Amino acid sequence: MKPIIECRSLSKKYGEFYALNNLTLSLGRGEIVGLLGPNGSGKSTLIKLVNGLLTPTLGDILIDGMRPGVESKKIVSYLPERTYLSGHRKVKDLIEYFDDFYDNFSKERAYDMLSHLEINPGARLKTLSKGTCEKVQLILVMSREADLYILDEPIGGVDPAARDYILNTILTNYNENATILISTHLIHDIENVLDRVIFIRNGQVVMNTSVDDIRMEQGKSVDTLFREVFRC
Amino acid sequence: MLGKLIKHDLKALYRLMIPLHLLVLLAGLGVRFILNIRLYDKIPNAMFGLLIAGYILIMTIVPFVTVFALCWRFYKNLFTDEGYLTLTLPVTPNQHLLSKLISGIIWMLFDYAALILCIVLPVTIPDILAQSDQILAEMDEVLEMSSVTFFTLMFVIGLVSCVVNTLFYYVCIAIGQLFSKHRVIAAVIMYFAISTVLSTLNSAALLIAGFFPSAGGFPFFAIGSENLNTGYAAAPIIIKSCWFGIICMVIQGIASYAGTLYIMKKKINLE
Amino acid sequence: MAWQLDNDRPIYLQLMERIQRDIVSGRYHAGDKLPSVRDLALEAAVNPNTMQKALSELERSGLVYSQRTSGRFITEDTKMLEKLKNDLAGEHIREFLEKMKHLGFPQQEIMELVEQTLKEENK
Repeated sequence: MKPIIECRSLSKKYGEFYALNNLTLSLGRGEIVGLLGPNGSGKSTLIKLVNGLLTPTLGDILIDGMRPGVESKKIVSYLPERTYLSGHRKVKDLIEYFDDFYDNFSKERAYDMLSHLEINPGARLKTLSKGTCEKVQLILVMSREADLYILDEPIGGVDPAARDYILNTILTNYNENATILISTHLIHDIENVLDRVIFIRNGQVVMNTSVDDIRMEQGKSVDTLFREVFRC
Repeated sequence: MLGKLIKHDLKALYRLMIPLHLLVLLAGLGVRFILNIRLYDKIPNAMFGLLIAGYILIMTIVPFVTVFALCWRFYKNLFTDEGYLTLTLPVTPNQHLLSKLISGIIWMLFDYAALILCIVLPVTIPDILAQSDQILAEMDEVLEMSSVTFFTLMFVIGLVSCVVNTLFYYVCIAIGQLFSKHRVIAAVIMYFAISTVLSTLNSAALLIAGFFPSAGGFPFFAIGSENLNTGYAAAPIIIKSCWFGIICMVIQGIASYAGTLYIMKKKINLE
Repeated sequence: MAWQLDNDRPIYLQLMERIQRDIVSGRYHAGDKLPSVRDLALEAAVNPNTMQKALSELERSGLVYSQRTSGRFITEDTKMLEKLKNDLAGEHIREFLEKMKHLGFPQQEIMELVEQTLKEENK
């Protein structure tokens, strides 16, 4: 089976600055992967490349064997760090929007999750709190039956209860053939749900290991290890 | 997919466009009514002037608002945070651009039609129609050509410029978003900078092609014989330069489209 | 409520221990059906793959067996459950004794203290 993400000598240059520098990475299916690294390490650039929002300067990136494009976008479900919900549109309009464009979107699942959270589908987006917006966005993303979920800082800026809900939603909707890539700096909170972590620094992968291996071999948590590896 | 994109693009603006253009129609109907009942004989001149000023103001502002709304939609939907959603849909950049173009043209035509109605409604009152033959004859004389030809030309130019202008706004916005800061201002500056360059080029081309004989250009184009007037042959020159202008606009439109598409394919720069 | 997990040991080991404890403490009885991997993972707030690994390990030890279609069950081998219970008890006792030794109590004194504490609790 083809790796869901494969980067070969991938570089992205902004001016003279290399956001990604000759990065090589291969990710299999059926894992929840943490993409960890300090600010400016290249996490966002990598995620944007996977989603076709940027084009590589050098090297190649393949999603399920395909260059980012229409076909790869069909199987990638992406939760950006920024919220795109705004304006007078209603929550249900957005559900229609997703339903229109994504064949693998399940309206029932989305409405189920909304009602579970007691979010009114008729509510206008601008009337929702920031936390609710983030939940709605996650619901939309997790209501797709995708092969690759990319969640960029899904638990940043929400309260602990919402954090639990979000992790719960991720676990509930996860299917064994999909890969979830979670980018975050709140490692401690998500450590228990990760299979694997990728540490990234200065645009390169410095570690790509399973969480249990880290604990078994080093006797410490990923959080502790992260602090050691990235000590300032 | 293109159809769905267009549907959503139209949906995004109808809440603004429909009322806005109803306002234009109302203004046209209002002035028609005022002229029909000869209100100008019954109220002070100043007040009548004010009403007409309001009518003209609406006709000037609404196209501006329409263009602004189209540009805003294009910018916001593709190049702000919303772009994270729009640009990750399973759709090609070409489809995105086509959708924005077609929905933009639909609104521009809508605007165009409303404005024409807004002008036609007041000038087709019985009082004026009764003298239409005379008015048209006078117009022919002033224009030095058949007014039907003139209005047809204007109409065609209007249509072409709807499309070309939309594309031109889009390419300016696309260039503007290449900057990391003040992207909207950058787009506006681009608009004025490129327009200035283009109009200079255009004038130079006209000059060389001999459309201004008095300025010493070479009369490359044979002057047609469809002019109605025996005097100084301005009409054929107007017609020729219109066609020339249309060709220039088409080239500008194609270049704008290609430029925007290139940026959308290779140079997306979301914050 | 998510299960309490330590930071320094593999998660699947801790999940195995937790399930063993639940069996010993009577939350699950011999022959009971276990919740699905997904439900257990949700309850523990851990990755389903990790829960799967823990259950596979338990299966290997014989404490849990799976029936292809209907899920996973606790073994009906009561002897084995009894042994698990004794093993766990033994572990705790050894741990306790270790700590008391650290505090400097000889074996005899430890016994006396335990008996005394038990008497007080039973009053």
